[in-house]
Amino acid sequence: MGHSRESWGSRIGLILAMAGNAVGLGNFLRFPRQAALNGGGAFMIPYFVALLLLGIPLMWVEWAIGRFGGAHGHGTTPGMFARMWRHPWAKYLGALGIAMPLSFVMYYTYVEAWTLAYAVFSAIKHYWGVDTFAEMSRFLAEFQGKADLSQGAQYFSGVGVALLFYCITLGINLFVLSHGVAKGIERLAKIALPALFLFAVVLVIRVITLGTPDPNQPENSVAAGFAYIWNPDFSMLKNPAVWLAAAGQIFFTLSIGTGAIHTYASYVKKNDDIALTGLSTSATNEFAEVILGGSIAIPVAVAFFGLAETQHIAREGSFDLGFQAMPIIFQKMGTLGPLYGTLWFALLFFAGITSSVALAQPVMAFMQDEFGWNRRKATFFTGSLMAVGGLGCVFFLKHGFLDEMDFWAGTFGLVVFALVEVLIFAWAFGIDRGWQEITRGADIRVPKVFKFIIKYVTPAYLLVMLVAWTAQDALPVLLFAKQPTTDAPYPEGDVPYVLAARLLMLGMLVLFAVMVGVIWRKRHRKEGLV
Amino acid sequence: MRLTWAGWLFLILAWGAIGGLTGFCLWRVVLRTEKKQRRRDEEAVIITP
Repeated sequence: MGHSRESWGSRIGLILAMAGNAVGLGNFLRFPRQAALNGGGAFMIPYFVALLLLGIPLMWVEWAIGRFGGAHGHGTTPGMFARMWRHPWAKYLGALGIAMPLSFVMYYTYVEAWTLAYAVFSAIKHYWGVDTFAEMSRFLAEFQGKADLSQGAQYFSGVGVALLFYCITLGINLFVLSHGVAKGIERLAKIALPALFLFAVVLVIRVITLGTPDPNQPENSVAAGFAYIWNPDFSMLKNPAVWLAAAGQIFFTLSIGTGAIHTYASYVKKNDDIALTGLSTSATNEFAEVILGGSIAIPVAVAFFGLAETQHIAREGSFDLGFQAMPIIFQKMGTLGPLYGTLWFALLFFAGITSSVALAQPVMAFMQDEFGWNRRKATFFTGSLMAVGGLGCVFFLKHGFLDEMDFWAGTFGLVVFALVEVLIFAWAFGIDRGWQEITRGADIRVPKVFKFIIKYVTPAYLLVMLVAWTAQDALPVLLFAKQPTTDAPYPEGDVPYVLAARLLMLGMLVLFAVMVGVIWRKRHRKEGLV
Repeated sequence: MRLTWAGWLFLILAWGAIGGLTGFCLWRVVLRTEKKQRRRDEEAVIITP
């Protein structure tokens, strides 16, 4: 590891890149739905509890692990864990921190491609005239290649358009990655994040000033939409599922447990602050989620469709809200409808791409730091792996390929990895050394209570989550008793595709574990230890 | 459906807490960055006898 590592160009660039990693599609689609379905304002109680006991402590832990690893020339968790825990398993556990974000970004890039496609569709009014839920559902299904075309195609004759947008999206991601940390990722964040916030503010202002779009239906108003999200239903707090949902939302929104924060933090200098910078990125993410994300999709849906219909849409899923309800609404927003539609989907695209480059960076860093590859070679390798899973999602979406990857890599795996890292940090590395790492060079005084929280409360919280999710979802899904998105069992025909998705993720884990083994053996031999 | 007083309370508290935290953090970042820059500039001054 004789080569010099890259570093961030500026602190504000780092904050924007880290915030870009955290701010994703979930901020604008998942949060408002979760809040509305899980007790409205009352949902904010478990949400803030999870933020304080899980989100912020884990975020500091990941920043500290990352900066510590970076100081030793490691940009990914195999090297970081091996330095923190002198155990032969440590580096192999670290392979999770490369394989998981890679599996995550494989399907995430495809979802990101939908947002780009819909931004273009909005600008050219491609879906104008498709103004009922049934039609819009058909439009989306045909675009995604999920529709049954035996009766003929109405809008798309296959996945060709979706594939085209996937290739464009993958190309943009690889272009950014190939330019490195400061000139690629940081430059993207400096453009995409301010643009995202600007678009969001424009949309929030428009939504708030909508009032009651149809005077004949005064109950359908933006105010009613805010009431749906914010009026508290305290009875929901008795339901453990609500607490689990809040903890899950904090996980997804802060991009904890993906391995991406470690890699970004590894480019921070040894004595630079991480406490304030990390908190700033989390706060920026929360601002985007609670203040902006909570003020667009649900309020506008209630204003145009009414409460009952919006409740139905919310129950159906985040994508129904984003890709079916919103396009219908934009058509009802007059001459500026195409503009608002473009802004909405461009906002989602920017949120997506700043997250996807972060998820792909661990593979890049691993190949560059541990194997000494140049950026071009690492980009080609990363892009090839991303394409394998991405194309699987494009062609086998209707068979549950993407949902399976989302469940294991984007949901369950995050909690597993977070538990592993917090145990290594607080127990194997030691909380005293860990606390020194967090507070070294800190520009704020980190309350000492977090030392206790990181050592005891966060691992316990994660353990409870893990046990609950394993019993509730992971085991039934693993045994094909239920699908990740519904309680229905897998259709017989989907099982081979689901198995293929699982094998792909497992293959990635084995691939990186083997690579870790190879490089460590080589290094030991070089150092004369073997 | 209208925003109840409890709804307003939760909205204002959540927005206030998050808006306040974001503002505080970014203000501190700007302040510290400026301070460090000033210190670096001052250190760079070479005083000749």
